[in-house]
Amino acid sequence: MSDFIFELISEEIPAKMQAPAMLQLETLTLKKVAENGLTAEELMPFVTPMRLGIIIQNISTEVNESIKEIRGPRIGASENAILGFLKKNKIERSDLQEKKTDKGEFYFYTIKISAQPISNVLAGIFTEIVHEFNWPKSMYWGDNYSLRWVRPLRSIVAVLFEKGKRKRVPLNIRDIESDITTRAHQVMHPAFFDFNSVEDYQEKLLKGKVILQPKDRKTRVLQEGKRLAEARGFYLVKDEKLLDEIIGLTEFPNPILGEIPKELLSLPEEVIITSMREHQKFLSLRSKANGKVEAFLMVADIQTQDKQKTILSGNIRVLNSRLKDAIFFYKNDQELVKRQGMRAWNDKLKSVRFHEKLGSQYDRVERIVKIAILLAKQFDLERDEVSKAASLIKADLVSDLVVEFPSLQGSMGAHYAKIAGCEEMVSEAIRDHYLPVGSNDVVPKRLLSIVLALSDKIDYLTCLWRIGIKPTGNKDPFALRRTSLGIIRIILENKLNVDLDYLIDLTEVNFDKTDLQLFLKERIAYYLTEKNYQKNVVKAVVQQYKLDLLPILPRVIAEITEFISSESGKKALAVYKRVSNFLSSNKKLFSYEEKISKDHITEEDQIVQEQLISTKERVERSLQSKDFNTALFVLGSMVDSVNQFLDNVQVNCEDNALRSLRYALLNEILQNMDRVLVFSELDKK
Amino acid sequence: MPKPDCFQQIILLLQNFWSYKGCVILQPYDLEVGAGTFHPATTLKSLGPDDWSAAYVQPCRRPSDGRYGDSPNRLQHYYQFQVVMKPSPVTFKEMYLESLSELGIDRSVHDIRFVEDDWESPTLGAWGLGWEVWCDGMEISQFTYFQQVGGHDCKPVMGEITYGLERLAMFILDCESVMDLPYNSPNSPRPLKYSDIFLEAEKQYSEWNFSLANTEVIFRHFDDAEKMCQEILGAAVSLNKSLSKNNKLVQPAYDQCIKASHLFNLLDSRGVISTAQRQVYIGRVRALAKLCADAYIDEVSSRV
Repeated sequence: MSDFIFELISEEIPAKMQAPAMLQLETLTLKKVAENGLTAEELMPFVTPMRLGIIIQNISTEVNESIKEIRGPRIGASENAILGFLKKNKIERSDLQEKKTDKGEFYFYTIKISAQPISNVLAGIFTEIVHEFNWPKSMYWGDNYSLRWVRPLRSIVAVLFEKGKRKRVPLNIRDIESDITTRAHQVMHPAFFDFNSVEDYQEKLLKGKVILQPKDRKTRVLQEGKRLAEARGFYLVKDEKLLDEIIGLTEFPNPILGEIPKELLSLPEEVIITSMREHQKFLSLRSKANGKVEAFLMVADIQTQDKQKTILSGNIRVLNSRLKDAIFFYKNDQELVKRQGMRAWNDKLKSVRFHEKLGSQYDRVERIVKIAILLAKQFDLERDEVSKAASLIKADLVSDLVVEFPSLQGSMGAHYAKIAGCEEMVSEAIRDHYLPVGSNDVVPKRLLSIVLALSDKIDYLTCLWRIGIKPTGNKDPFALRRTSLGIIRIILENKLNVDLDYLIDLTEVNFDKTDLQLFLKERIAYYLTEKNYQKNVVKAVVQQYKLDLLPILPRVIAEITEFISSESGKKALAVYKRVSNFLSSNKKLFSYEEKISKDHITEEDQIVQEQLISTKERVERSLQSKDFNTALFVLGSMVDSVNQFLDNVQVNCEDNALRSLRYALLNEILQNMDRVLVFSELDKK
Repeated sequence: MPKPDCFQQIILLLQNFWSYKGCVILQPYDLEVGAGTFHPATTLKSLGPDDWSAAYVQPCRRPSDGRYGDSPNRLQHYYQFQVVMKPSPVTFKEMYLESLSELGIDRSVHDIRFVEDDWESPTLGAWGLGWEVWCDGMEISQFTYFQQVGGHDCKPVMGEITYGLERLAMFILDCESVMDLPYNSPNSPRPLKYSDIFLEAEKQYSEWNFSLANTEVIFRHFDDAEKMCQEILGAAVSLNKSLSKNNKLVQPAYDQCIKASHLFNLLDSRGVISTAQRQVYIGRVRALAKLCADAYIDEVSSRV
């Protein structure tokens, strides 16, 4: 058994691409190793800003002669498909063999893989991997166009350790020859060195100040950060996303604690946190004594003789000038609000375009106010209060501070609303109407916030939908999926009795709602499935009902899930299948229609017909009152007679008229069952 | 070389350094531009197959960034030092780091980072991949590998480094405000600060950019520049009938494109371009840049 180290050293890989790249490298390696008939005990991928690589331990040392079968087109496939397969594999028709599999008969092409040294196989595998690698954004550099990479690739390390011997695995990619030496930290240990084993490689790199695993770099930041913070009476504000970015910017992270200059602490806390995170990638630290953000943790890539003092003072200077800018904007905003109130900004919204076909942000606010007033009627809210709050929700977009820090929209609005003397509830609604932003985000809880959030979102969704902006495939630049999910979550998670159809109608936009309704149904199904409701039941139910059912949908689905796993539910499904199978295998006969006189009808026909009429009535009545339990019970109660009917009569009888009647009956039975839920969906996975 | 003690010393040092690395040292382009990238030595030279390495100072104008000289770090007129090398050398990044150490920035004391920042210029129809370079948390340079300009692939790839000279100087010379920067050496017979030379100009131009510029005239000038650019390239009225097909006078046409771009910035800072119109104007400038790039490619390929 042997060990193999593969490392690609490049110029700085963007932080957010590192973790996915590491995963991709592992997946590709696993696939190629297996495809080439190798076995490997352990794969250890790693990534830092400067390197992407993988260590393979205990890899099989020899590739024995083996046979690989490639499946081609199905026998009887078009001539083009066969020719394509021949061309792709560069083979002749005489190379093809016919073979039977569980999936049918296919053409096969068999390749003999001859025995060859492992290092050749590895060279082949990793050359392919590099060329197949898929970066979200990649580039050329210099004047060689044989490889696109995320940033210029500088060297390739490919070393095999076989029976204690070190061996270069020969790769040449974009005129870069693979090497047996690597380098550690670019500042603290820049010289190239070689190594004698996987352990030696890891040890030397660590000594040279490179921590290969992102998770180990994270642990270091957290442990060191915690130690520094505690010693000075602070604790770390959790921010996983920022932490992930930070460890993607360092090979050897060194946390440094800095205190925010006192004169900057007059700024609202969210401004300080946002400026530190967005502009400088500082983690915020709260004081244990008063809970306020008064310090930060920055992470340098080096350790210096002056114990990072120069680095810290440089960073504090940048923070100082950034936050002084922010103080300047904040003062301007405050003065304006004190003098003229927040409405002064609304005028400015007239010149901020929302969308070229949909007017300005001001127009949008006017629409939101209208919707909010109508929607508020359903709740115990004062009309004036709603109208006032709604009219202010976008004002902060043109405040100096939000122009500078767009991610503070809402929270600055809330802050300024308080300064302008608005009630707590109004200020909170201005802040929370953007919620929920991410799928893990909370939904607004207070009524006023809920009304504004729903009004804002439904206006956004319908307006864009009306002018033809709809999500397609994985493209959803206006985040309409997220917006819809927000609406659905606000209604369901607050257990509101809000009819989604009614909500759409409040927007007064005239357009064909059909595909929007379908889209919303899909979103509802997606949400409920994510919430671990049974997927097939969700589909069977959501398809069938109007959007007004949304508020009680989770309950209904729970009831139906229970029903279909009960005895009578299983029986109902069995009958449904029996009938529908029967109908689909006799399609031709089914279309035949002829009037029938009463005396032709047998007693069995009559019983089933009468029962159908009464069940239909009872089903409709219970659906009207949204009583699904009863509807299901009624369905269950007719199962036995349907079975008896099918057992006792011959549906395909000689009498044309009678046969036609029986088919019609069966068809109606299915339709009646589908009124409650789409049974055919239940069988799908 | 000793650590630079003033703004002009930094410029001289960079010029010297890059001249040793094989760049021709050019002078600023004599038109108002928003960034050193607009200089034909970058934009036009990034196209076509020829090797090219140059370095130059470029004064830049960003009318809406003016603060009447009050802000410690925002100016409507400032300097960039631009380096372009094509094809981008293998050790381009190392050269850049070496230049920092020449300027007295010691990497074993200062934290230098390359933070992803892909460059895109909507008005030039151009993009590239690269980073902004941070030194102890301060952004001091942009580093870009050009991929496309005017919609054309850059082959070979040009590497571009843009030093923000004022920021860099504030860092090296330890100044809190740009206006306090020593422009020439504090030991010279008549030491001057940045403010001595530029404060009054910042005040005057801020006033002009934000309040006084005659927008009616500027709108007209924009239209004129656009028209002339098109005319020169023979896209609209064939002014250049007498010229052979492949001699399209790209450079004079490109001047008009640069002018249009600056006039647009000026209108923008006067606040007379609505958000809706904004995209339209950017689109018009981009169309001009595209025409110039197309013509340049034509011209270069006809030479071969």
